[in-house]
Amino acid sequence: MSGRGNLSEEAARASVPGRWSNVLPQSWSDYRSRYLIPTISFLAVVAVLVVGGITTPGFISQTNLLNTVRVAALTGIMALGMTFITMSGSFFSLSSAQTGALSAISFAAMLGWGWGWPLSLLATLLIAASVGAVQGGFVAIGANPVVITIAAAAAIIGVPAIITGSRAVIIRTDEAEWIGRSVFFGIPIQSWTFLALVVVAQFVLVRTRFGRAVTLAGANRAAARAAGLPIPMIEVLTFTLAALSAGIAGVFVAAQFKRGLVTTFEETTLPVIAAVLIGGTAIQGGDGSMIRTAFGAVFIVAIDSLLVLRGYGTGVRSLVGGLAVVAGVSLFWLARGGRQR
Amino acid sequence: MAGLFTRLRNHPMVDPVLGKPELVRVMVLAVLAYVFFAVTERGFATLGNLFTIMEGLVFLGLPALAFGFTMIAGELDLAVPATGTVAAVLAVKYADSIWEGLLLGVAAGLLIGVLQGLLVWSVGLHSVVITLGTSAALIGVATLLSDTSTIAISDLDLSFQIQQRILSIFSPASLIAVALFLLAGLFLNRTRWGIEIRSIGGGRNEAVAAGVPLWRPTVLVFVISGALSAVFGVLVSIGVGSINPLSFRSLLLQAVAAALIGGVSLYGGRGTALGIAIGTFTLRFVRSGMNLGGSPSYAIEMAIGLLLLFVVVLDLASNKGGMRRLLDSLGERIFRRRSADASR
Repeated sequence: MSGRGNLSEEAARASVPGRWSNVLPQSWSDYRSRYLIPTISFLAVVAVLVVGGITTPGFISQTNLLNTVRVAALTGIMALGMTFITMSGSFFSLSSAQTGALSAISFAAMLGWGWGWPLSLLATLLIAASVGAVQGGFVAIGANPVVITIAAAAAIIGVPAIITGSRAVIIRTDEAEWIGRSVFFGIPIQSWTFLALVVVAQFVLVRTRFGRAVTLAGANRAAARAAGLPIPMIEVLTFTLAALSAGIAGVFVAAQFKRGLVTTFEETTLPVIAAVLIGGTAIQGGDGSMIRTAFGAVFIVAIDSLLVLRGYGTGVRSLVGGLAVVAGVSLFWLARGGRQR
Repeated sequence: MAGLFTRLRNHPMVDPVLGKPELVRVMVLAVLAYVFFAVTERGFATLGNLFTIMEGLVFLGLPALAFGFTMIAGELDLAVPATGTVAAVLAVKYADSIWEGLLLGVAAGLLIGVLQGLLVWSVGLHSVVITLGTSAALIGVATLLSDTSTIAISDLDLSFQIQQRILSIFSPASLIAVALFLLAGLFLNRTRWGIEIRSIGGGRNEAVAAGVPLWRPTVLVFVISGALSAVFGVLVSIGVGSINPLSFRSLLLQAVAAALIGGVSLYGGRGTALGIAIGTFTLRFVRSGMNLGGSPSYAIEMAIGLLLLFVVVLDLASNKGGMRRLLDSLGERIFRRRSADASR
């Protein structure tokens, strides 16, 4: 996977912080990787929303849009964290659904112990982050991220499943209800958080030393190592961020439905990864953006909602989701100039 | 005495095993697991349980072998459970006999394998990404075919046929699995195509430079993986008598664990059918032992997950991974300080 592309071009793209000269496309390949893909993503979202909205009764109803926006926010928040992993060149994590479920259960349990919502929230996010850091540590010493996260997923869900006996932990107080159910200006709190996190994550990715280091580590691992970047630290931090974002989503779900359950995020691993990849983030790392990931999340969730409204079952939805991943990732890869091996 | 030991060590029957530390490791692990549960769990070391453990070669060994093949080639086929599900649904729905089911399922598995192999090769992306997508798509196909429900076989007699005991520890299903393991071992070690598969896993650039046409082993490995997954799906679903699109959902962890515990390298290029078989037995010992002890399924999966993490760390410590580098740099630092102290 290493050694792809032109080293100096990649290094330039990854390391120059950028002023206006960097915003304008420099060449066709530059235009292709930075503008064509976002344009395609954006047009796809618009096309699906418009065509689907017109032809499907009930899609442009307030309740459905509200629900879509809320679900898209949860998928999107998890996808933002996942984008850091993908950007750094470690593919993706297959344990974020389990981390989310662990967080939902911990949050519900801590509220039940009377810890109050601020402490419960903090402790839950701390647990999620440390779970991610441990996985990142394994990856940092050279383990395959896919295998590590498959194994970690079983270990992560095992502890709460054994303790709760796979039964739901019900939240009996109302103190945290606002976290899951508040609506400001007609838009749920989840979506506001999502928007804020997109801005923060994009800032971190593009404007901070850490973000640029992640980008270079994915674009050219050898160059990053030669430049003295602490690759193991980057891996620990990206997995921590991914787990943290799953933790945030877990807290939202627990607060909204007033319970934590082992199966909370059961079918979300694929949509989250799909959001990252359909957003056009390069699977081998180094090229991507949080804004595109956000569009990817909205796109995936909107399509799913359309299919549900049109009466399709889980079979068709799973088929469409899977094909979207394959087609999306292959097309973006080929659009970038394709095969390197 | 020493002479005898050396002669024994270099004996052509012994050397291929002792020459591979990962094979020795998995054997030790398997014996440890067996002895532990034989001592702690009553009813573990019985003939009846041995039958159950041999059956494990079918519903864990075959998918682990499928994963193992792709891992040895430096790829990873996440669609093994999904391919098995599609084949199983087809067999349960349309077949009237075991052979018909196997034929139908394997045909589907071969088709899926060819398509996936061509896709992976022609797009040139890592197979983890492609198979993650195809896996969801295939589960979708299986769900459509089964109409989102559990479907049962029409002729329950087939279940009895496939589970009847032969020599008190085998069944027709596990005999098929044993035969496939033997074939896989011979294929990997003794044929040109098998060696090509290992070569693109161990050193892809070197293999291509040496004239291996990349498309052949790539497509081949996915075809083999598809066929093995299909045989697994058909045998298990007929044995159980029914199939649900989500039946094989927790298989991924166990099959990857069995292959890795069995000494298949995460970096590709290294791995044996014998190792995968022993890795499968190790996991079956753990599962069967914990089952007898009354542990819930989540606890068993957690134990398998932790075992997998442990083996990965062992692998890293003994291999080319960063763990070795970390230990080396740590050791060097300590020794440098010591020699500096000594010179002072």
